[in-house]
Amino acid sequence: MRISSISLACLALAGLLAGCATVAPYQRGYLSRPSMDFSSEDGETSFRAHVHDSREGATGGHGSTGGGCGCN
Amino acid sequence: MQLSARATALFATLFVASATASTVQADGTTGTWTGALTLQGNYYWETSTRVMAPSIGARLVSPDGTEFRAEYLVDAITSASIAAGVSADIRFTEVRNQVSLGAGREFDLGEAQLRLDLSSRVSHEPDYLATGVTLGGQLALAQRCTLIGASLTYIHDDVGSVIRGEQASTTVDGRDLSDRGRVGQLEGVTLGLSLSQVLTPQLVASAGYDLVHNWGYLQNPYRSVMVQGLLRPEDHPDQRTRNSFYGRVALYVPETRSAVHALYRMYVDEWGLAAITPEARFYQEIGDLVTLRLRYRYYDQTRSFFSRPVDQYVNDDAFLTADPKMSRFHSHLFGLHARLQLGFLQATPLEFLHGGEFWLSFDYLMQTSRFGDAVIAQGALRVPF
Repeated sequence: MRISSISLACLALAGLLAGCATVAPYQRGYLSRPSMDFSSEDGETSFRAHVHDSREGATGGHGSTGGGCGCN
Repeated sequence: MQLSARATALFATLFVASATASTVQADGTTGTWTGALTLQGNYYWETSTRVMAPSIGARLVSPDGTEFRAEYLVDAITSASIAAGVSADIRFTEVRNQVSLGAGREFDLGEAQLRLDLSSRVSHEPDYLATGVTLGGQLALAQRCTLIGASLTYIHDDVGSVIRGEQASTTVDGRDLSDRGRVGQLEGVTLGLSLSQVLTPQLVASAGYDLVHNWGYLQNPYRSVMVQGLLRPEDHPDQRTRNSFYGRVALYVPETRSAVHALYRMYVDEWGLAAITPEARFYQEIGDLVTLRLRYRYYDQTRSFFSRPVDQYVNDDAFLTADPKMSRFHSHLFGLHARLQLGFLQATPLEFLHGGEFWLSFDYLMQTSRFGDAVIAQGALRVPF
């Protein structure tokens, strides 16, 4: 699983770097829609991240959890 | 400790109140301060645990573009859980108070823009004090088509232990005998790197990497393991290095006014635990004010190298765990989200809300771990000013 994961990461990074064409600001109307704004869900994501931190072994480590809920 | 929690709550309230007051004053003199106030409610339910976590947050942007943020959150956890691995199911309610403060500013470098951000957080509950500070930077290139981000976080937690489920017991001088005091400290450093790229007028992608190193008290003081007939406290390695890679691609379809997001995260750490998390989100705009979102998330993890069925530990084992998060399991999450822009309130008695938004979210989580199925429900009202 480790090899395939790293390969996928490299593939994603290569895809990003390959797409470095500039899209002018006036062409980004669609990207400013709430459904395309990654930061518009920050408030929702914060609590959900806390839930996943306390229930999954592969998330957390950032200190957002406490001891009482068995989060540690 | 209780006094400290109240002081934290009072400080947060005063900060938000003073921040709001200063905005009114600045608005009257310069007219250029902007900001938003957010009220949010969060609820989590599973068989043995209920969490209610309301929060209030404020964001202010000064005339020179400096952003200030503050948030206060109360996290009320009801019922400890045998599912979490404790030796007996004990009902209790515990309150956690959390205050977050942050500030950031963007600097124009000509062809590029650099944003620097500093934030800190303090979380307090009777048996746990968590503190953290994050320094972040983001470089915008190619007319903001490319965003390169980096962040560094340091955390320091004091882990305590209290006896629960019994009548409060104090000595003649008032000392709380249920408080076992501090049992250890946990520290950590996180390095985050990210890259976001606008690919076409309808397509954007991002990718990132997080490196987390934790050291110190990494087990839970309430969990214990039966080892050849004797109950022994949980004992984890005292260091853990964690790696996660993630990516996201988002496509907007103007013909149907919908958007599709594909997310993927993979994780591996030195405890032998690895995980994958693919996720898909579908957004549908309805009119100009409503956006619906459907979401599916799959999570699958392997077990840590020291995780075993509870009856298979022997005296020679170096590490012991009763933590369900260390075992192999997977989960499915199904989510529904609705967002409503409040523009229709213009020219009504509630006109002060017309630039804001209201959203509701409901997630159902099916887990094969000992925690069982769970529900996450959230809602928020954001009002700009």
